[in-house]
Amino acid sequence: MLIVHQIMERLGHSPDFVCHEFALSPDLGLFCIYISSIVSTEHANEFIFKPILEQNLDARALHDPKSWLESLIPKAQTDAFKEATEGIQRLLEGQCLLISSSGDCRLSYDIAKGQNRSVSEPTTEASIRGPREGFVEDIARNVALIRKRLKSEHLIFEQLIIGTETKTKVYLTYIDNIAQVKVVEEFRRRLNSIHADSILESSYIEEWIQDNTWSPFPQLLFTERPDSVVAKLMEGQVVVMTDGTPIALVGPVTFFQFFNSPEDYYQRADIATLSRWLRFFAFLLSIFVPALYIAVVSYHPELLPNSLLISLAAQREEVPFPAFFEAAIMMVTFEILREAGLRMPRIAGQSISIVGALVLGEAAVEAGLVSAAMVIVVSLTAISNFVSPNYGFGIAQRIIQFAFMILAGLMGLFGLMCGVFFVLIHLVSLRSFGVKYFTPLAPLVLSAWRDTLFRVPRYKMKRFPHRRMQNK
Amino acid sequence: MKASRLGVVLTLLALCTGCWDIKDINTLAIVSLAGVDKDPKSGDFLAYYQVMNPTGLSTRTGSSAKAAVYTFNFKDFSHGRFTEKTGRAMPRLFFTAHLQSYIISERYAREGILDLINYVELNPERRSNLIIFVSDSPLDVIMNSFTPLDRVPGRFMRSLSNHYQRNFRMNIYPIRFKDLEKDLKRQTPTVIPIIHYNGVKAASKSDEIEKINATQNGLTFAEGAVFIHARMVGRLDDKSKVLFYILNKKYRRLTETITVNGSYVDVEAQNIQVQRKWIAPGSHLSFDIHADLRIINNQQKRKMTLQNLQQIEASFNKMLEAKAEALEQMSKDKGWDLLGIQDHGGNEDSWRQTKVTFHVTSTMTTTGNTSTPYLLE
Amino acid sequence: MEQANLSGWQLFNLTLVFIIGTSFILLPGSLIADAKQYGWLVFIWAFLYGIILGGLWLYLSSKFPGLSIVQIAVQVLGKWAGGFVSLLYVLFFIQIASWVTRNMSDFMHINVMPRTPLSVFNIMILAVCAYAVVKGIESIAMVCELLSLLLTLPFWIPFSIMIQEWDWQNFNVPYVFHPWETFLNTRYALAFPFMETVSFMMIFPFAGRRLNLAFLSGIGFAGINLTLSILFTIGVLGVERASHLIYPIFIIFREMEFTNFIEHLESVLSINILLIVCIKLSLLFYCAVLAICQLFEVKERGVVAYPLIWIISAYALFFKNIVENVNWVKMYLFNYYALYAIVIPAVLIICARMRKKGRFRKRETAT
Repeated sequence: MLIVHQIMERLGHSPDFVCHEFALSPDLGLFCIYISSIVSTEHANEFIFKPILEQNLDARALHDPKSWLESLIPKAQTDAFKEATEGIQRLLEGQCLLISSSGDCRLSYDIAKGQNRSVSEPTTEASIRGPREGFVEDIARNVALIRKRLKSEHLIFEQLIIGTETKTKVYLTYIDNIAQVKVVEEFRRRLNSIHADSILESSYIEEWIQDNTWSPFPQLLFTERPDSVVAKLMEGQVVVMTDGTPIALVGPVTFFQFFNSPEDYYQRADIATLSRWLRFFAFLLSIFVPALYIAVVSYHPELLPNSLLISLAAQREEVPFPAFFEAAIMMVTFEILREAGLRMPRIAGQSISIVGALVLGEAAVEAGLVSAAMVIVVSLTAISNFVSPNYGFGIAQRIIQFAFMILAGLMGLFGLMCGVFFVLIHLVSLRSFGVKYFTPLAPLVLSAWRDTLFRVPRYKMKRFPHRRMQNK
Repeated sequence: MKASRLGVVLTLLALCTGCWDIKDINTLAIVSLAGVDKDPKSGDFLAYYQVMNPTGLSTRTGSSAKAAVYTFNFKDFSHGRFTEKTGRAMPRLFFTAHLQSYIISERYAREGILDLINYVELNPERRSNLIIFVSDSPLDVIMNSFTPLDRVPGRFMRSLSNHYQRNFRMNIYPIRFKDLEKDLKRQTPTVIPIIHYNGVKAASKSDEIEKINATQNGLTFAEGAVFIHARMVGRLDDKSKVLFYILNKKYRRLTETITVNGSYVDVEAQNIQVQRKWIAPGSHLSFDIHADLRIINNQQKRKMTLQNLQQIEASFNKMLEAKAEALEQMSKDKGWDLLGIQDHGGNEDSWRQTKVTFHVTSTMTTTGNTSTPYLLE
Repeated sequence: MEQANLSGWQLFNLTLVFIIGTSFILLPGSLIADAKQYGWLVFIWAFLYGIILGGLWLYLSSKFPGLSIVQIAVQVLGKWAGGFVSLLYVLFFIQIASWVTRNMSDFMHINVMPRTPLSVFNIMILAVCAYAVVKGIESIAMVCELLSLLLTLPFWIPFSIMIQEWDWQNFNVPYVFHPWETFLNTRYALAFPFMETVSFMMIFPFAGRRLNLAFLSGIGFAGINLTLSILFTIGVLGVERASHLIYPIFIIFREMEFTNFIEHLESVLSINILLIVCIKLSLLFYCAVLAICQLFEVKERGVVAYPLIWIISAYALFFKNIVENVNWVKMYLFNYYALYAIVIPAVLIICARMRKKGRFRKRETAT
C-alpha cells in the first residue's frame, strides 16, 4: 500500500495516470497502475485484466499471489521490481504495474505501444537504384532493419542509456571480428563520459564525442539508410544508433568518404568513378568560384582573356558596388532564400524556389544592382553545394566558401592561397577517432585508392577489411 | 589579455591594407594599342594610347555609345613620365596588361628604339611579347582611325598577324619586342611589318566604318622594315620579306606564279624545309630547300599529265633559285646579312665573300578538283 | 617532443620542396649573369656537393639516433658550450626564415600587388605558418605530400610548352668557360639551397628507416629539377635576356601564349611559389620553434610560435631593397653558411669521437 501511495504521489497528478483497484477477495486486492497514453489498452485488457477477472480464485492465489499471477499472465513480458523509484521508471517506459494489496507481490508487464511512422523512403538520401527503406524513430525497429540484412553472429549491439532526464537508449554497433578494438574502446569511453540531461537527437551525441568541435568539417558521418549502415559495418566502422531519431552516426570517417554515396556501389563502376570525379570537381567549384571571381575582378584583371574582360567590364559599368559587396549581397540573399525554402510550408515552397532563383536574379540584374556574371557565379556555387551526398558536408562547404570570399576580397589571390594552405593544414591535422582525416591521400596509402578516387569493379576489391584497417 | 587582444585587432586592421591594391575592372582604362613617335628635332616622345570602351563594344541592348575605342595622346621627353601624365587626361587607371600591339613611327625606328626596349622590359606592367609594327603613314592618322570588321584596332592588327602565325613552324611570328631583344647582339636582321594607311584623312568618326568600302580607309601590311641592332636601316618589299622569313625564320608557305608553256600557273608551296650546309667552312654555304606544291590556278592550254607536273616543278625550282640569288645579291650590296651567314658559322669580316648556292627541289602533292583545264578547241 | 612518424616518401617530398623553395625564382638570374650559358653546370656540381654534405649530416645523426642537432650539441659539448651552439642554430633558422619571407614578399610586392606594404605579406604568411607549426610536423609533411604533385605539374607542363621557343643559337654566346673562376664566383649557389638543408637535422629523429635514401634522393632530384629549369631558361630566353632580368622564369610564364586564349599564366607560377614558400617557411619555423623548445624545455609550441611571427616579420625588413640583398648574398653567404653546415657538424663529430659519446662509445658488453 505504501508503495502505491508513493507512486501516486509522484505521478498521480498526471491526466493519463490510471490506477485500478481490483478486490479479488477480501484478503487479496490488486492494484493495476499504468499511464494510459503510452500503453496499448487492448493488450492491457486482453492479457492482464481478462485473465485476472475471469479466473477463479483458488487456494494458491491466496497464499502465493505472485506465482499465481505469473502463471496467469504471459511470462515473456513479466518482471519483478522492488523499489518505488524502479516502479516509477517502468511506468514511464510504458509498463503496467501489478501490486498486491499486501505489498509483497510487485510485477510489471511491458505493454508499451509505439507511436511510430512506418518505414518509408529516406528523405535526405534518395537513390535511384537500391533499397527504399530508411530508418524510423523507434530503435527496436531500426535494429530489426539491420539484423534483417546482416545475419552474422559477430554483429554486436551494446546498449547504453544516456541523458539523465530523457534516458535515451543508445546502441553501439560493430562487427567484432572486423572492427578495431582500439576504436571500439574509444567510442565506448567517450559515450560513457557524456554527462547530459537530454539526448534528443544523434547530433547531441555527435557534439559530445567528436574530436574537434570548432572545425566546420564533420568527423562523424550520419546516414538514414540501413543498407549504407550495413556496408559501413562490414568495412569495420562503428555505428551509434539513437532512439527517437532515424539518423545513425558512423565513425571513424575520412574526408573522402563524404563523397561516397551508396549509389556508387549500385551503379556500374565506370559511371561511379566519373560521378565521384564530378563530385570532387563540384566541391572545388563551390568553394573556389566566388572567391576567384572576386580576386580576379578586383585584383588581377590581367588574368582574364581579352573578350571576357571587355564583357565583364561592360556588365559592371552600371553596378554601384565593388565586386566584393556585390558577391556578398548575392550570396547572403541566396542563403536567406535557402533557409526560407526549408521552413516554407510545402505548397508555397516550390514557388519560392522558382521565384527566388529566376526572378530575383533577373530582376536584380535589370535593376542594375548586380551584374549578370555574378548571378551565374552564385547559381553555380549554390547548385554545386548540393552535389555532396552528405548534407552535413554541404554546410562545411558553405562556411569555407564564405571564408575564402572574405580573404579574396581582402588580399586577392595571395589571401586566397594563404587561406587554402590554412584549410589544408587544418584538414590534415584533424583526427576522427584516431584516424587521420585525409587518409589515403596524406599519408599516402596506395592500396586504399581503389575506393577513394575511383570505384574499381568488385572483382578488383580483393582486400578484406580486417587487413585494410591495419593500414588506416 | 589586453595585449593579445590589441595584437589581434591590429593584425586584422593590417590585413585590410590589402584593399589598397584593388583594381576594380570598371575603374580601368584598358589600353589595347600603343603608338610611339619621336620628334627628331626636339627629342620629345609622342605617345598615343588607344583605350577600349566596354559599353561601346558590348552587345547588350541599351548601350548608347558607338565608339569602340578612344585615343589619347601625350607628349613628354622621357618614357617613364607617361604613366603619371596619363592621369591628367584619362579618367581611369592606366592598365596596359592587355596591350595587343605597338606601333612605332618610321622616323623613330630609324633613330633606334633601344630606349623603348629598355623601358618595356623594366616595367612590370608591360610585357615583351607584344607584336610591333612600323608605320610609314603619319602616326596620328593611324591611331585616330576606326577599323572595319574588328572594332578594336589593336585586335584587328593582332588577328592579321595571326594569319601569318599559323604558317610558321611552332606558330611563332617573330615580330615581337623579345625577338628584337634576342637579335640585339646578332647579325641577322629582324624584319618588322610596315603598316600603311590607304586613305588620306583619318577615319575618325565611327560612321566612317559604316561605309561598305573597307579598303578605302583601311590599313594594309605589305612591306617590311629591316632592323639591325634595334635600328631600322631600310625597307624590304613584300616578296623579299617572305623569302627572308622562309630562309631564316621557318616560314613554311609561299604562293608564286610561274610561267609554264606560255601560260600562268599559280602554285602554293607548303611545308617548306630549309637546310644549311657548309661545303667549305667559312667560304661556301649551300641551302637545300624542299617544298610540297599545290596548284591553285592552272591556265595552261594543255592536258595535265605527269610530264606536265614535272615541268611545273622544274619551273618552280628555277624561279625560286633565281629569287633567292637575287635576295642574296641585294643583301650583300646593302650590307644586311639577310641570309644569316654570320650567325650560323660565318665570319664577320668575310661574309660578303662567302659563296652561296641554292638547290631547290619540290614535289607536287595536290592538284585541285580538276584533272585537266577546260580547253576551247 | 611530439611523437611523430614521417615516412620515406614524406621526407623525400619535404626535402624536394625545401630545396626548390625560392631558389628557382631567385637563382637563375644571377647564375646566368655569372656563368652565361654554362649556368646549368653550376647546379650539377652544387647538388653533388649537397649530397656529400647530406652524407656528413646523416653520419652524425646516425651516431646519435633519436636526437636532433640541438640535443646532440648539448650532449657532446656539455651544457654551456652546447647551449651556446644551439642558440647559434636558433638564430640561424630565424635568419633563413626571415630571408625566405623577405624574398616572397618582394616578389609579390614587385609583380603582383605593388601598393600593399611588405609587412602585411610577412604577417599573413607567418601567421598561417605559425598555425602549421602548432599543428606539428606530421601535418606539414602531409600537406607537402598532398601538394607536391600539384606543384610540380603546373610548373613543368607550361614550361614544356615553351619549348616551342627553343633556340639552339642561344647557347652560342661567345664566352670562355673557366671552371675554377666560375666555381668561386658562384659560391652562393652552393650555399643557397644546399647548405640550408642542415635544418633537416632537427627532423631526422622523426624519420623512419628509409631516412638516408629519402634524404639523399630528395637532394638529387631537386638538383636535377633546378638544373633542368636553368637549361630551359637559357634555351628559351637566351643568355642575353635572362641575365638582364631579375625573375627570368616568371617572365617566361608571363609571355606564354597558347592559342590566343590561354595566356597570362604568371599567376599560376605565383600561386606555385606561394605554396612552396609556405611549406618551406613552416619547416624552418618549426625547426626554430623546436630548437627553442628543446633548449629551454618549453612544452607547448604555441607559446613560442606566435611571438616569433613578429620577430621574423620585423627582421625580414632588414635589407632596404633587393639589390642590397643580392650583394650581401654574393659576397658573404657561403662563408656564413659554412659555419653552420660544415664547421659545426665536423667539430661535433670530432668531439664526439674524442669524448666517446653516443654511438662512438665502445659497448662494454659487446658481443
